[in-house]
Amino acid sequence: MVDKMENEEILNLNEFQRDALKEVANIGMGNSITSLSKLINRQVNIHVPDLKIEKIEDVPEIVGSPEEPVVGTIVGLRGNFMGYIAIIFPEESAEKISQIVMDSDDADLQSEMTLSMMGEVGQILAGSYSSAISDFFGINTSITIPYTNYDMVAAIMDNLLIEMSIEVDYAIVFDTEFTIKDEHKVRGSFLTMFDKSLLDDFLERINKMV
Amino acid sequence: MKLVKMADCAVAKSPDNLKTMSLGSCVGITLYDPSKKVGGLIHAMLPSSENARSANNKAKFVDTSIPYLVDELVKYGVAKRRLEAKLVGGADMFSMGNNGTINVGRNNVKKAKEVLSNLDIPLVAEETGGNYGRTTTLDTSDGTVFIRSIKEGNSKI
Repeated sequence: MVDKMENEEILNLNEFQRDALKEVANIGMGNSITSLSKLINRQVNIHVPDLKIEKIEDVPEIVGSPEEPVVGTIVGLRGNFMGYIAIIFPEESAEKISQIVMDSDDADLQSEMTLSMMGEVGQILAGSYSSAISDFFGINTSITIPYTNYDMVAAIMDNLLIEMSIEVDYAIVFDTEFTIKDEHKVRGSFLTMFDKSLLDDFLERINKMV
Repeated sequence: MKLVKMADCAVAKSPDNLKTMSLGSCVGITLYDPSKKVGGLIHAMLPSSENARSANNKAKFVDTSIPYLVDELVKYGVAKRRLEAKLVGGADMFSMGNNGTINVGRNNVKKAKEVLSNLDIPLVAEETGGNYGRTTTLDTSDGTVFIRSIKEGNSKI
């Protein structure tokens, strides 16, 4: 399709800026993972790959095939920073987490109970993330209530992408994978998405620090 | 099979079919000419380009994508008066009621109906709303639209 890249300067971050943003994500994720680890009483490992700058419509493909069944939770960041966090668990991983948290051998991803519990997990992760970033920059950030559903990953994410796409063509995405030690089947993706104005704000604050 | 991505559209002639994956609140719009066996499929994200900061991608918006696709179909020798439309998607994935853009699914469907009506293109079938994602395939041999979902099974319109 015809699509002139209007805000393409976003694509030209230098290495220092990339590293600084990655560090911000690392700080947030570290705090999040500590919370998850406490919640399920197991060691959790994370891997933060390079940040990606993607056209909004290409974001679902970062997570996998658009049709992959997942439990997804969307949380909005509000206050001084506006952004979104999407926490995506593939089907099997969501079942495993549900079994661990609810201490049961059953996991029905379609039940309201399970989804609500997964929403809580998402909110705890997003809350720790945002408070770590708030502390780091000395600003106020809050999070919205979590929206959770079990469905195709691209269908779950499209509402959020729609909301972002009103303002921007590109999203900055940190796709963080985490795995729970000794539970080989459990993995998840933690996507943090910021728009251009937030990126500018981040970089300005980072520049002041060095 | 031609794959249509989010905020994209395409035209195909039988036996080439068109598919778009995992429509949530996005709306899938098919336009089909039964006599030429040519069809088009749109995966639109937003109802209107009016308040958008960047409206360069016509396929992103319902209001600009339908006239754009009609023009593309005409290039394939399709007569506008023979076109039939079907709508899929426009779900409310988080069932949150009237909360801002959360309602975008319903607005996408509403806008699509309005634009089709203004262009005098009959809407012959739809499967919209609900709170689940749908993968949509247009069979260009007869205009059938196949819908796949995880929670509600498969159907066709």
